[in-house]
Amino acid sequence: MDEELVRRAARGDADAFDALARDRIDRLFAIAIRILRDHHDAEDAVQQALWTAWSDLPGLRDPARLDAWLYRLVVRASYKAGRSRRRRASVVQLAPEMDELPGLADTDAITDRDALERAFASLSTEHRAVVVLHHYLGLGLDEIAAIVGVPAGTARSRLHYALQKLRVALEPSDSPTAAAVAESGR
Amino acid sequence: MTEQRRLDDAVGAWVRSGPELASADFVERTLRPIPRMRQRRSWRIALERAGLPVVAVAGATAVVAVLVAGVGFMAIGPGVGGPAPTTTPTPSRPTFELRVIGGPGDGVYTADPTSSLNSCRRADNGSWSLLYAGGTPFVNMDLVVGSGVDETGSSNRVGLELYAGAGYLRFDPAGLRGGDPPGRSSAAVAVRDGPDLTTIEVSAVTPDGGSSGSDEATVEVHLTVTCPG
Repeated sequence: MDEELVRRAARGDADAFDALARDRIDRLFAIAIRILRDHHDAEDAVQQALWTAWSDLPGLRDPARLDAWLYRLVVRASYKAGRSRRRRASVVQLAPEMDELPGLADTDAITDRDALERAFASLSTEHRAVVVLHHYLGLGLDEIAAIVGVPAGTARSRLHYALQKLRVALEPSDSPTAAAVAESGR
Repeated sequence: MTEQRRLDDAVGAWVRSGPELASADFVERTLRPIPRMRQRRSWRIALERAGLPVVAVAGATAVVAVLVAGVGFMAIGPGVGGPAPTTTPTPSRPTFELRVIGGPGDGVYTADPTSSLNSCRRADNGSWSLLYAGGTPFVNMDLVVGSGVDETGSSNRVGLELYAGAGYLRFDPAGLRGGDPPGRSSAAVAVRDGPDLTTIEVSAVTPDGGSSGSDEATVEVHLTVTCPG
């Protein structure tokens, strides 16, 4: 059914595109805001991704790949927004919707969330995107690599580095892992 | 559960937490303008619409290209003692500087070199068109300049439909496409032809369409486009 909508949208049927976009815009926004941690930037990225999708949809060869293609567009738009934000040098923390992190004592949850926010903010947008695609969408490394346009090995190393840095944020600062990541400084 | 697994679960839970829904206002702001935006035309779609098999046409095109290249090569000959072969440089993409004064799209915008859509064309009758989409903030521009426009800037034969940031505007005082009643907008356009580049300068005063699509604040538009060729 969606594939027929994609074909119709690619032939200029704006109603078909509207239906496809409404089904997906929440997920695209959820991806963008997790990468960018900024509501306004996330909206800009999703808007750019969907307008580009409408413009370029006639060139999408396989309608079944719509979702992966939209993920790619929103990740690319997030890269741009991330670069723009670095120039503005602002870091905005999301309003937490979850009160505690599993496996951690309640009293530590807020401190740990703040530590994760800071560690995530220190990552590049490219590293954040891999973490979000893996942990939020549950995608495998090959699919992530295709979406972000890098070899699978690069996607793996980005995920490894990013997760190591996030783990360290939850560990005592004098732990061996924290020292190793601090030294690697990649 | 190992310590690393426990930490990974905590990281995963943190990534999954957070907003899941875009605001209804944002959804409407994003989707409402789309019916008025143009799509890039794929040659595949054009061929499918014409009922032609894409693979066969592509193959025939390739054969013709090879034959033309071969004939051209034979006509040039071995080139002993002749002038060195020259190559035609690939034309660069159009560039522009857009200044919108007033309204929700107020700001200065320039062409993003990585944009997915950026083409400038001159028709046989001397008219020009520019299609562009890209950048942050996002700009979607559909510009047409009528034939017979010179360097003096005395012509109003220009039409523009523009999304720039949160702004939307359109003007077409000469009625090249229609939809702009007399007196709603004013515009002046000049076209300067150079050896390698053509510069199009546009100034206009027009209402901003706003997010509702109805005319709102009056804005000034100043646009300079440089087209290769």
